[in-house]
Amino acid sequence: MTLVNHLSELRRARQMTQAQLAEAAGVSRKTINTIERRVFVPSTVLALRLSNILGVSVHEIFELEEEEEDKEEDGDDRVHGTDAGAA
Amino acid sequence: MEIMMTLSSDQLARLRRLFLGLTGLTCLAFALGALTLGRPDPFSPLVPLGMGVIAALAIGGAAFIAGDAVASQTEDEGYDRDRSRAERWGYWVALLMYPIFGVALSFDWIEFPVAFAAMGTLTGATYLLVFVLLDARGAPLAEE
Repeated sequence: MTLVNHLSELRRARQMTQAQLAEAAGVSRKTINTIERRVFVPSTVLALRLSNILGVSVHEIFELEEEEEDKEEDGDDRVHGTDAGAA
Repeated sequence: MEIMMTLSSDQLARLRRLFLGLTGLTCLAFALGALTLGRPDPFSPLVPLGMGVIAALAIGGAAFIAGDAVASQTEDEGYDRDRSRAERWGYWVALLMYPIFGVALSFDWIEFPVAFAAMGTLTGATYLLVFVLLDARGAPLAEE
């Protein structure tokens, strides 16, 4: 599972600069930049603060994306699960 | 005429990087000087001390001028993360220096006062320079 975020798109859609968002959230521009570049995962408090500022839910900013390997493993598990159930 | 002086969090962070970087480089120069010259005072110990004091005054003064809101912006959770990573580096480098300098001391390659001076300043230099590198790496170059 990888954490993806749409902070950059949501911020741009609201025509906000990183500096404006940073000031509104009470953090540095660097922190906003590193979140957008997926270098830094913010705390729950900051995630909630960002969602309030952007007027969206946290889930619209951040989401967990399944990787191909995870999907394959899940698929295998499901097959095994079905087999086990059938047995 | 009233002079308004304000600093943004970006400017404050840049200033912090500059002064912490200079202090780190001074500590590193002191340690390398001690090791290469084989003396505990390659230059006056007041130089790294003075740099530390100047850095503290400059950063503290700039934070005061910038105000609480901007100062707390520059000391946010991103800063905490970089600081704790730099502390981790400083901690492990400090620990690693004990066996290294222990061997050097046991073979009389260096004298105790030299090892003492080098280890102390290298620990400080590691923390400061790693922090500056981490802080600079994440800093955006242009406004987006």
